[in-house]
Amino acid sequence: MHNHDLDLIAALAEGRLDDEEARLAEESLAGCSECLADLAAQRTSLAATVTAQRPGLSMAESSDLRRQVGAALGLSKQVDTAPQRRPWMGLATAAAVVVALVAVAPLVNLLSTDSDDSSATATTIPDKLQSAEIPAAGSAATTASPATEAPTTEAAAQAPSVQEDGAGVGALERDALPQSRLNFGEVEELERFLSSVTEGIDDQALTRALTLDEMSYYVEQYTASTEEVSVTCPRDEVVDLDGTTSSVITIGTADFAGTEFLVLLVTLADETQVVLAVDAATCEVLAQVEP
Amino acid sequence: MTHRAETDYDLVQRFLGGDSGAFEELMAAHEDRVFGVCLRMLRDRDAALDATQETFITVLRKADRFAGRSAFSTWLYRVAMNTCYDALRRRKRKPETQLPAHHDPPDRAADDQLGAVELRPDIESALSELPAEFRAAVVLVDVEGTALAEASEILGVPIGTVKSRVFRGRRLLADALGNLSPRAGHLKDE
Repeated sequence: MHNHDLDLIAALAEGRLDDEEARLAEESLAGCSECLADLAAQRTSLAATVTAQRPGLSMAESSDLRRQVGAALGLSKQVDTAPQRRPWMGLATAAAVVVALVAVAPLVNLLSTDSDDSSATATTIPDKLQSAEIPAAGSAATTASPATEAPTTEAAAQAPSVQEDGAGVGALERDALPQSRLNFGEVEELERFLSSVTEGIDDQALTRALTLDEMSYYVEQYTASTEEVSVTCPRDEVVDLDGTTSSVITIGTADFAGTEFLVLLVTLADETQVVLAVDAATCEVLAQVEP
Repeated sequence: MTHRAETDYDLVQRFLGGDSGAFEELMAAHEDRVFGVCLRMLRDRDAALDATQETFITVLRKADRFAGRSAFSTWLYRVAMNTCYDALRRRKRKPETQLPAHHDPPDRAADDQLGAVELRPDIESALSELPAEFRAAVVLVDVEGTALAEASEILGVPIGTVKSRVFRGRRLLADALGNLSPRAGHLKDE
């Protein structure tokens, strides 16, 4: 792999350099066969894509599309009797899908070193994770543990209140997201943490359903992308449940190498689950574990 | 805010006010481009039509949440991308129902001759060779002419990541183009 500036090669291929800059760039690349191959590839690709026609809808397709979308939105009284291309799973139907609630209180206890909640059935964090120190939640000075040191845990700063009623539906305070702070220096440590969280999920707690409002709230706030779980990470706009993601639950927040990340439990429509650690700023998935 | 973004914002507000004309204008402004992105990602016309439909339904259902902090188109294409990623994942999970990639023209009525535009098999076959993340970046930036900053928002990754994916995607595309004969392309199953 050559050391030349790939941005320079891209700029040269895209024609963004003036004549003098381009001449100097060409000179600098002249002695690097890999660079020249890269430049040629960039130019070949650009030449091909710039001439690619944009595929368009036929008039019939456009008309059909607008009719279907309008009908789904209730914009037209006329019911489309043609077979739907695809059954649309609206939010009401999604509510009928099995959703998984992670019991926040037991998980907070899982992450706490001084909780004596005997009702928690969560597997305790391996000793290595429990042995180190971390700053309290909300502390300005959160530092990543060096790779050679064990990751740290500390009592959770706040546990959202969970009320259980006879119907088994929990009510979560919307503003009280879990705030346990953990520091990890290595992806492997993060994955071990995610595994321990996964093992500690209370099976009974999973049968409790969030109310639709609560579920929508979490989905609105955080959804994450991986090859296995498709989501977006909108901060300002909302992405609706799309029929493949049943629920996204924020388990907690933590630090990985100085970056804040969210721990999410994502349940898909086919009831498979994935636990993700997602960069809170960029929404990049840092690690994932499947229970 | 660009003129298009301002117009879209106004259209969304009118749509929320019950103006069906605004719905038609929003669709007209964006349906071809959304469909084009979906078709290139999914390489199947029916799947792309489904994804396009799903995208608009998803976005317009939540139009009341659109605050205008970013362009409507950014949100729209982000949803389109994720809808396509979902469809690609479903294909992976259920290979027995995997759709063959085809670009057969739709049935056309006499007044449809000027409607549909088909894809050049060589460039589209080559694009289909790219892994989804690189294909998405090349389609957005090079084919659709999306600015890096907007592509970054659409794909939900930093600008540096977009640049990297575009650069590497172009490399892969050039390789794929070099492996195709002038007329007969080959289609890669995902």
